[in-house]
Amino acid sequence: MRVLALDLAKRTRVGLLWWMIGTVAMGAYVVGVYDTLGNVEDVADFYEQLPPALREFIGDADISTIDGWLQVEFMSWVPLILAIYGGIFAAGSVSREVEQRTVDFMLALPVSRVQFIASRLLIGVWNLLLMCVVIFALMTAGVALTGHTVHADNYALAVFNAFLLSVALLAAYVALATFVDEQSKVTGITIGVTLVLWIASVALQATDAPEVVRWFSPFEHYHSAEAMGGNSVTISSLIALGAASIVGAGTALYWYNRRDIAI
Amino acid sequence: MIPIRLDGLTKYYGPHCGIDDLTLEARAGEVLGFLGPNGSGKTTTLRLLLGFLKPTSGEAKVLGLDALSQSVEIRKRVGYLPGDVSLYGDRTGHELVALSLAVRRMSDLRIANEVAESLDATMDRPMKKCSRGMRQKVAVVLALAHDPELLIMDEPASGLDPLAQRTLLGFLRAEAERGKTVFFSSHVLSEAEEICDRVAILREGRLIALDSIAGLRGRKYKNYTLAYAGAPPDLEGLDEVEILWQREQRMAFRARVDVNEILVRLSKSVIEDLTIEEPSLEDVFLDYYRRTPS
Repeated sequence: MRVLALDLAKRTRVGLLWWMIGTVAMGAYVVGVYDTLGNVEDVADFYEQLPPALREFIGDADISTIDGWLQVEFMSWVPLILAIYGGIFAAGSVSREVEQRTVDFMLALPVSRVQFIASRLLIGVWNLLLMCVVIFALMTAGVALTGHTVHADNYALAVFNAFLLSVALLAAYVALATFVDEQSKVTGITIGVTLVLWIASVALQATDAPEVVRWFSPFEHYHSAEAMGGNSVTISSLIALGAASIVGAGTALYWYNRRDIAI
Repeated sequence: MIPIRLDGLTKYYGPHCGIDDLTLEARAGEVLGFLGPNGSGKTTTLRLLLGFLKPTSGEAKVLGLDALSQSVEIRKRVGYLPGDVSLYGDRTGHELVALSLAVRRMSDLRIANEVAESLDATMDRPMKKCSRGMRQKVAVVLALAHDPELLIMDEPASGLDPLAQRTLLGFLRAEAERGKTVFFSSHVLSEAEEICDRVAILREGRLIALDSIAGLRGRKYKNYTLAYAGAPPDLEGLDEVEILWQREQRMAFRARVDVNEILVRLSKSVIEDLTIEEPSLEDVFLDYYRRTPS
């Protein structure tokens, strides 16, 4: 499996690099622009005028501080970026192999299907981890370079929460990709699902939906605003994301091992 | 040990039959051709042998191992060439061979280099920049690089130029002479005729013949071409005689009856020239398809 995983890491490195460049550019812009805001308090006032549900969704943070600003303008978007990456990764590393028939080459090697899918999950998680490390480093270095106080533990907790959320979605998307053999279809579905879940979280909050309903939306388990504000993150959310990852990965491994690879 | 043994192997895709109750064995050291037109179940059978598909019923054993539950062990010892080869576009042949050997914890490139050289395969160019034929050559190198005991190949000569086809078929024959078993599918009958010890003929997922080339021909008719003077020979009353053409004191017919019966009839006419030929495998194949009810 090590060989398969390294091979996939090699094949995905260029794509990953471009995602990192995009994310770093976005983060660098957000950090860099903070000190250029003429009057931060005006921005804070504007933020206060936003609907409560939207404010809660992007993080009920004090944007007159750099940590609050980072939360609203950057960290609230990070899980969306990571989730979309996860969907594209799943489509490219699982569905595409069957669609383009390269899976015949892979599965003609003495590797089990479990090893094949496990290598996809492993490298997907590894790539997400690399992106999260880069995001953490960017925030830490960016805040330090602009002369503000760095709250590295807060950033780490927020990024860790984003990582867990993106791993759960990656596992679900890899599971989907084991059922659907068309790369474009899986890409479309995963991006669509990500956006719908994202918007649904806003809608559920705006409508004061019952906790039990909101609990099933993965973005409800992302608490970067609390983390960035120095508060603790609900442990049950972290556990739920971990459990969802295991269920998604288990489904992917189980189904791929059972299905026909028919071409 | 029997390299390949299929016992009542059946695969349905929903209501559609892939193969139905297929029973056959490939013997050690033989080249067994698997013939049939498109959609007859050749590729389905090969994919069942590699564990890509799960049978609806029946059993397949490869090198004495269960094709489904022991497929990883099987693939260590088998060289597989898929039909309609697709390889990673950004990878060169060398990189793919290195990957294939690394998974098998091997590093000896000697065989890969020999095969690549004999097929004149370009190994240092990314696959997306290679022609279909070149990709096929690289795929053949990949199938042979780890010196497998058994070769399972889906239309191996497909896409190759005539020279490379000849080299490949010679290579497969040589592998069989070294004691390896070669099981390959094709719908190009001349390939099978050239190198196979036995052939299996599939029709709509069912095995309709399994015999040596000579046996298949012997079971079937012979082709007669003759020139005569005066009246044409009288073949009336003979069963299973089919006149193919007749003009200008010449005629050709095929007959399934004993050659002596034909010669007795012909001796009653003035025969100026006579040729008796075994049917080609293509003739045999077409005859099976005409005569076997679907």
